[in-house]
Amino acid sequence: MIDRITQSIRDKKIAIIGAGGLGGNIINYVARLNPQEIHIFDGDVFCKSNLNRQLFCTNKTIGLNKAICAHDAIIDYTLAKVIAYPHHLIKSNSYMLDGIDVIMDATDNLAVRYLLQSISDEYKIPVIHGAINGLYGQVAIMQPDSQLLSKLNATKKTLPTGATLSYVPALIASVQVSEMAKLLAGISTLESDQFIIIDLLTNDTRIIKL
Amino acid sequence: MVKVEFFGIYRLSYKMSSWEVDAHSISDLLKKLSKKFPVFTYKELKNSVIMVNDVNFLHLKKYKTKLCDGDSVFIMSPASGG
Repeated sequence: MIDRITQSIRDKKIAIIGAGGLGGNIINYVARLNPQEIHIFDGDVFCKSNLNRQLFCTNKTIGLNKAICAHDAIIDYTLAKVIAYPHHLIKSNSYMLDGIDVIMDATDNLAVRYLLQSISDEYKIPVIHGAINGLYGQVAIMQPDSQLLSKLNATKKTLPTGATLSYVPALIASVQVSEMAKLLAGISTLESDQFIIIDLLTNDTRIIKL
Repeated sequence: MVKVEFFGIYRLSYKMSSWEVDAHSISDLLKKLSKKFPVFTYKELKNSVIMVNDVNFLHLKKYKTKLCDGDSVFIMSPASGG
């Protein structure tokens, strides 16, 4: 099984949108799986408040672009070709995702997530959705044309995101990468209208059907 | 009574995992919930994923979904941070 997963990733091109809390951890885990290409999008720079949870934020990287810092860190240990885009993903540059095998959602707002949903539909690319809030988070596989995000956020609004701790994005990122690996290996059991919810306060984990 | 199970931010904010209430519809339940625990308004509670007996209320009659004694309601607000 491990060989199957490893082999299936080797020739894949993976895009990670966001290099912050979720993104930093996803980039690290994906880099160590050695896909063919890793594409990292993030237009933000690190600031002091990112030190508590964002993997590539250190005292030396504050003020530097997150995508570039992630690139510079992982090229030391991955076999993948790594391309960093030091700007936000917007509709006008979304064509750059054409040809990508899977998109990892590590964004931090609904507007970009809805853009990812439309990109997924347009270019027929699955998106591994992940989000965190306080001590809980969720993961889902958004298949093209599934409109999963619209079903999950029926009102297009969410309650304010609270502060989080270092281990919350690490766990959700880990589950996202696990779902990505299984999807690419053809062994995913998560259906396109299901999402995984994990509450670290009470260790309550469930799969909800939308 | 209807058993309401909270998840995520509701569990954190209400400091409880479940609650029992006498409610005849989802709308009635959310109104009673916002009155009992004003930390979230009725309008804010509408930004929730709501399951009634494990069925998404969007597949039922949404806020007009009838509730009966013994029904189980699950409520969570989807996370959006990264």
